[in-house]
Amino acid sequence: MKQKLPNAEELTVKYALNELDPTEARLLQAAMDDDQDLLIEAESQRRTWAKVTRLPLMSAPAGLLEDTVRMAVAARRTPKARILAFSPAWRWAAAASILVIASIPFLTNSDQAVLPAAAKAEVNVAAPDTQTRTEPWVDNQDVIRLQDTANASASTDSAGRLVPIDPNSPTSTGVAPRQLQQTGSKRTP
Amino acid sequence: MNRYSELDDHQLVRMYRHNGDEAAFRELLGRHQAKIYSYIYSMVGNPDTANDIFQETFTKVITRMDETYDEQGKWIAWVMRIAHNSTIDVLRKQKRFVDVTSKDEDDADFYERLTDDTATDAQQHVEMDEDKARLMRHIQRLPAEQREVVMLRHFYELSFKEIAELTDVSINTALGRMRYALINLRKLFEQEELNEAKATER
Repeated sequence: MKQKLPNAEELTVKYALNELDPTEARLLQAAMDDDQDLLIEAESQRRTWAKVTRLPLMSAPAGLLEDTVRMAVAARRTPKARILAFSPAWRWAAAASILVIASIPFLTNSDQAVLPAAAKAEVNVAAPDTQTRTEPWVDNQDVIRLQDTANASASTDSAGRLVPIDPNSPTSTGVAPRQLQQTGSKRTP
Repeated sequence: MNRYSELDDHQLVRMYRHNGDEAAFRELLGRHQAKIYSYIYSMVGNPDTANDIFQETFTKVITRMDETYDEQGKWIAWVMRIAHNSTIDVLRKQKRFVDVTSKDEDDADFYERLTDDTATDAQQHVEMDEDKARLMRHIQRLPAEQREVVMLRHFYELSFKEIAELTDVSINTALGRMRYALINLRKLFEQEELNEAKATER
């Protein structure tokens, strides 16, 4: 009874090209013993491949080879700096350098570099306080803050205006007012 | 025997790369040109196109060696890959050209149409005996994917794993293409024998 080999097609190609490993060779041999069609297919593929292998190597025309050597020599005689200057890697590096140099004014002092004089004045007025606050401070939730200058100064201004609630104040009578206010701002005269 | 013939590819590549050693490059080219040229020629079947692709391949080899070839890998494998890609690019361009200009033709495989013309080139330009010229003609009639696998195996002696990697398919696909190539070639040989038998009867 014929025993069908699941990968018989691959194995016949490998057989034709003499690429079977010992296990595959045993499997295929057993299958070919049982199945004459498989034997014929494998053998005809082997013979066809044998014909293909008779195809000879062809040499490139002598002139073409000489041209190739000349080209290779010329490429190496060219000063290396010139070759590198045209290589893609260096082109990218040069483009990146130009980009970095061009963006320096934007990165360092973009306002002055771009805006006209009138606009500069406006910007200067609106510019945040550059004095650095070093002391930590506590917000109204008793949380220590160590924030940056701009936010800290704004918050400190608000915090400085806070006053504790006076227990004798009419607003703290034990009766919850409709709008509970536990802190208030000092009124500036 | 000159001293270069005793050196391996790695050493020759290094000598050419670092010192521009002409003799080292000449030795490398001499060692491998036939395989590269035969592969290209068998794929395109036309000497002028094969020459162009060969030259393009080595232009790329020379100009890209510093950037893309690392000396860990085999130099010839790297060159073969370039030759293969250049060849496939040309075949694709030819396919586009034929597709655009021959819309009225039926859906017959492009390569079959193309290679009918190029077969005569193979006969005219390559000095090989009649059997080999006939074999080349048959190979030219295979679809490109099958021809590619057959030639990569024959001229470059690549394993199916390497063929699969180079052509970007699975090993099973590469094996399948080889199988169909062998079946098709067998049919072509049989057809030819039949024709010859008929001719002798007359």
